[in-house]
Amino acid sequence: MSFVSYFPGRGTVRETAYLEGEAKGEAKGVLRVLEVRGLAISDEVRSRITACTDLDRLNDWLDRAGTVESAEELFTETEV
Amino acid sequence: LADQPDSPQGQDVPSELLDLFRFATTCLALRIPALKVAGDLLSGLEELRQRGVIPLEEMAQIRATTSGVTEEHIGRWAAGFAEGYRSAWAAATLHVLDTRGIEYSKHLFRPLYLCGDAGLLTRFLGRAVTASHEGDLVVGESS
Repeated sequence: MSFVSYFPGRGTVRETAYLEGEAKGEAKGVLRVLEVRGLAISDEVRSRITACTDLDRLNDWLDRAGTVESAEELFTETEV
Repeated sequence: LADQPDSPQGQDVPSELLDLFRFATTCLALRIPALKVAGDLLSGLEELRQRGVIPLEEMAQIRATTSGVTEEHIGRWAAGFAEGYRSAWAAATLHVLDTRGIEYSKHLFRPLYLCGDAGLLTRFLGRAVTASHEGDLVVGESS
């Protein structure tokens, strides 16, 4: 059985944009944490993080962005 | 950009933003793949935002324009995008404090989530990475 929400505003332009802004903002937040920690960020890592729209994965990266020793290390454990 | 309805006809557009557009246009003329150019343009916009050259709202407006949002929806799309973006940075700040084991009071939630200043949120997130207590987030900010 699927859940259907009839909450006003669902599926609107603004809501769709909100979700996109949330994902893009979180991706940039992950990059910001890596930058503040002084870790080198290759174009490939930057592209991969920026292109991600999966909030669970972004949350996982944000969790580990504060402790990884290199930016590439973010991807190692999520690819099991 | 000067053709956009809410854009100030070019005269107030930061030179760095114009340079970014010129660079993207040149790359396209050199037949560099459009997806690559678009990705670089969006990264450049974010960099300008983080440096305070353009506000988040303007970045959202440009994103809306360049991603094919119809003209009648650009304002709502940009507002929604900016709202989601600020929300993500507020959440990220708390998330970083949580993962670092830094305790904070519940009174931090409301001002953080209601903060409409993306530049301030950017600084909060940066400080959350090294803060040793909640008060370090606002060091140097006028109250």
